[in-house]
Amino acid sequence: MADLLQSAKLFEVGTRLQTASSCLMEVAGGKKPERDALKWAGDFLVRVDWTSGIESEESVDGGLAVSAANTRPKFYASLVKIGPKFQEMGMDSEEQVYEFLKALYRCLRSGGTEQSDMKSEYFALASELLHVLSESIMVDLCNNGLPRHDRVLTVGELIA
Amino acid sequence: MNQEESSGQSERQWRDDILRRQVRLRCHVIKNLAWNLENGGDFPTPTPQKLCALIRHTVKMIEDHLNETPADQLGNVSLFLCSTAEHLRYVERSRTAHTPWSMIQATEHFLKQQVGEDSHFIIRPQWSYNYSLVGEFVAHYQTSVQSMAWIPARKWEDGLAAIQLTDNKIYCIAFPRVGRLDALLHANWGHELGHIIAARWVHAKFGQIWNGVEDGVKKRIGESIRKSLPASIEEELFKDLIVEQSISDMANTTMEVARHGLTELICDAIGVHLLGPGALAACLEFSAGLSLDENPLQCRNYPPWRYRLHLMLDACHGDLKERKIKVNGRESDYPGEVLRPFCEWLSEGKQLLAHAGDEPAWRQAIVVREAYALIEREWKNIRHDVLDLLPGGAEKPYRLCERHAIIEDLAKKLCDDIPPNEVGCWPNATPARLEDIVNAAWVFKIKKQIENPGWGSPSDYERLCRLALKAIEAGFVDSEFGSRLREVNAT
Amino acid sequence: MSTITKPEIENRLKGQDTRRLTVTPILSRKQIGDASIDVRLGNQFIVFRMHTFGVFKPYETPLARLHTMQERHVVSFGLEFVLHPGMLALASTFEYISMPPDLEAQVEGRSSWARVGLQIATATSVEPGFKGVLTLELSNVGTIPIQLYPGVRIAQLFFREAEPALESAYDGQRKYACPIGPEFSRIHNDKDGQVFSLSRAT
Repeated sequence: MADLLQSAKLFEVGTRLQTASSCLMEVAGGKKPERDALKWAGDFLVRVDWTSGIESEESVDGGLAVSAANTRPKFYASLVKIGPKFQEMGMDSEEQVYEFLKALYRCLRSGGTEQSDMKSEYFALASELLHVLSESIMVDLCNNGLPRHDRVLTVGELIA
Repeated sequence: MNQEESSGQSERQWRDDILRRQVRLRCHVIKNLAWNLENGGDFPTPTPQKLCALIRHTVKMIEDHLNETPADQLGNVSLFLCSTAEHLRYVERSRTAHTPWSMIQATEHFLKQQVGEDSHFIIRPQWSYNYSLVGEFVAHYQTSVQSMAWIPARKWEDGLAAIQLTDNKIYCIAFPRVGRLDALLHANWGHELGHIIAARWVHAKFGQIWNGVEDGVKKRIGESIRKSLPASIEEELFKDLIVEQSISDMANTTMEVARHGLTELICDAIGVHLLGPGALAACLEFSAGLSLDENPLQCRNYPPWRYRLHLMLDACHGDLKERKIKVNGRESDYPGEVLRPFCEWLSEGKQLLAHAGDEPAWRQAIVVREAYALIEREWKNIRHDVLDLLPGGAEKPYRLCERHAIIEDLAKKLCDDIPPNEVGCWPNATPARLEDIVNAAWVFKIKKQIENPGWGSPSDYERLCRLALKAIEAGFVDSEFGSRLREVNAT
Repeated sequence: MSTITKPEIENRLKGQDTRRLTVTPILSRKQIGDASIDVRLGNQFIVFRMHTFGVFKPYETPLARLHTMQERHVVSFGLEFVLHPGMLALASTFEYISMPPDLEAQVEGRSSWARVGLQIATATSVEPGFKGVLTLELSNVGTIPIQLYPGVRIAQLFFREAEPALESAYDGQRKYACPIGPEFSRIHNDKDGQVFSLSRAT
C-alpha cells in the first residue's frame, strides 16, 4: 500500500523542522519566538537522538516513534555533514557536540525561553542543523524531483 | 555583510523569486485541471469528483496564503503541489471510459461493509499486474496542511464540510487492467482492504510495540557493527556519530522490515478471514511463478511468499480437514463430492510448500532476523487484535465448511452455465454474497481442471469469469434494491 | 405451439430437471404476469461513435474498424441513461436467461415505454437452449429525450413450447455464448450475405 499518511507525517516533520530552523534565527535576533514550533521540534528531536538521554518509556505517539526512527539516520548524517561547522566553532570532540545538542534541546523544549546554555553563535549552527535535516527528509520524500528508476522487468505495485 | 554572504543572499533571493512565481502558477494550473476533471468526466461513483474537490480546496488555501508563506518553505510547498498533481491521475484513470466494468458498485459495497460508510473508494485499472491501495487522502492533506503553520488549519477543515468530506476518508484501489475480468483473482480485494485496517493498526499500535524493543535491537545491532568496524574509523573525527548513524540506519531498516512485514501478513490474514480459501487460492496461483524464499531486503521488505502462504494455510486448515459435519441436523461428509477437488488441491499445496530443514537463508541478515523475531513474538496477539477491528470481529471468519451447502449450490449453477448470483431457486432464492460467489468459482474451476484436464482454455476461463462477474453484479443489485422493491410492492 | 401461462411458467422456474427455465434474478414476483415475465434494463450500453465513420458496410468493414464504431458505457444503478430522439443504443436485460431445450421465447417491449417513443426492436426470438442476457436495441422514435434507469422493467418475455425439443440445443459454440452484456452486431460473419455483396463478389 502507498500509505499517504506516513508520507504526510514525514512531510510534516520536514516542514516543522524548517519552521523551527527559521524560528531559531529569530530568537537569536531577539524576536519573540514561535513557542509551539520550537517545542514540537525539541520534543521530536529528543526522541530521534539516542544520545539525548530521554528514556524511551515515556509515552510516545506511535506515529511519532516511527517518524523518529525514519529520521534518525538522517539526523546523524546531518551532524556529520555539518561537522566542519562544529570545528569552526571550536567543537572537535563528540562530547562537545553532545553538550551543544543538550543545550539546543533545552532551548527548543522550553519554547525558546531557556537560552542560558546557548551561546549566540550556537543559534546559527542549530538553525543550520535543522535546515540540513529538513532538506534531507524532503530530498528523500521526492527523490529530489528526479524519477525513481528501478531496474525491474515488471512493476509489482504502483507506489504513489 | 561580506561578499560571500552577499552572493549567498542574492542567490537565495533569486531562487525564492522563481519559486514564488512557480508555486503561484502551479496552484492555478492544478486548480483548473482538478475543476476540468471534476466536471468533465464520466465516473462510476462520485468519489473521484470528491478527490478533485479536496485537491482544489487545498490548493486554493495554499494559493490564498502564498504571500504569508515563508521564503524557506516555498520549496516544500512546491514539492507538496507536485505530489498533489500526481494524485489527479487516480481521478483520470477511474473514468468510466477506462473502466467500463459493472462490478464497481458491488466492489465498493463490499469494501464499505468492512471499513464503514465513511470510507469512499476510487476504483481504477492499472497496467501493473497487481492490486494496490493508495490512501488515505483526507488525512494526508490534513496532516500536510496542519504542518504549514501559516495556513489556518481550522479554515481548511471548515471547508471540508462544503464538499461533504468532514470525517470521511478517500482511498484509491487499483486492479490489474489485464486481469479486469478475472473474478477469481479479485479474491485479492480482501488483502487490499486489509491494508486499510492494517494502516489503522500500525498508526495506533506499532509505534508502542517498536518502542518496547528498540533498545534491545539497537544493542544487538550495535554489537554486530562494532565487531566489524574498519580500523580506519579511528581516524574519523566524529567516529561515534558515524557509528550511531550506521546503527540507526540498520535499526530503521529493521523497523521498516517489521512494519512492512506485519502489514502484509495482516492483509493476508484479513483476506483469508473475509474470503476464506478463495483468497488463499488466488495467492497460491499468483505466487506459482515466483521465488518463494526471497530475502525481504531484496523485495522492498515484503515477507517471503512461502512464509505468507504458510500463515494463510494455517488459517484455512479447518476447511481442509475431511470429517463428518452436521447440515440441517443431518450428518454428512465434508468436503463432499463438489468441494473435494478444491480442498485436496489446497492440501497438496500445503504439502508442497512445507519447508523442511535449516533456517532459511533469508533470515541470516541481522535486520531481518530481528524484525522477524518481533513479528513471531507478537503475531498471535496482533492477528487477533486486527481481526477484531472488522465488523464481524475475530470470531467470525469465513469458513468453507460452514457454507459448503451454499457453495455446492452455486458451483452447480456454474456447471449449468448459470451465474451463481442466488442460492436456491425461485421463489425461495436469496442473493449470494460476494465471498460465496468467489469461493464457488474457485471450487468450480479446480473441480473442472481435475475432472477434465482438457478444460481450461481461454474461452472456458473467460466464460467462468463472465458468469462470476455477472453474479457479483446481480447479487449486489438484488441485495441493495430487491428489499426496497419488495417493500414497494407490498404497499 | 402454445404460449405457456403463469402456472406453467412458475413450474418451469421451480423445476429441477432439464426442462427448467432460469430467469435470474427475479427481483419481484410482480414481474411474472399471466403469460409473460417482465425483464429489467441492464446497466451496460453500446452507442455508436458516429463521428468515426460515414456508412456501415456490413461485409466490408474490418473487425478493428467495427470496434472503433462503438462505445461501451456502464451506468451505475441509480443513475440515468438518456436516449435522445433518433438515437439507437444497444442495451441488455438485467436478468440472465437459460432456456430449456423445449421452450422458445419472444421479447416484446412494454407498451408503457412504446407510448413515449421507446422502441425495443430486438432480435425478437430467443432460441431453445439460449443462455445469457438478451441484447435489446433501444431506439427513440419519439420527439423528446427519454431518461432510462438500469433496473426498470423494460420488456416482456413470452414463452412457447418448441417441438420437438432440441436435445443438443445451444452448444455454446454459436455466435453469442453466455453474454453478460449487450453485444455488437456480428452481421459481418454471415457468409451467405457476402454472396449478395457484389463489390465483395467481384
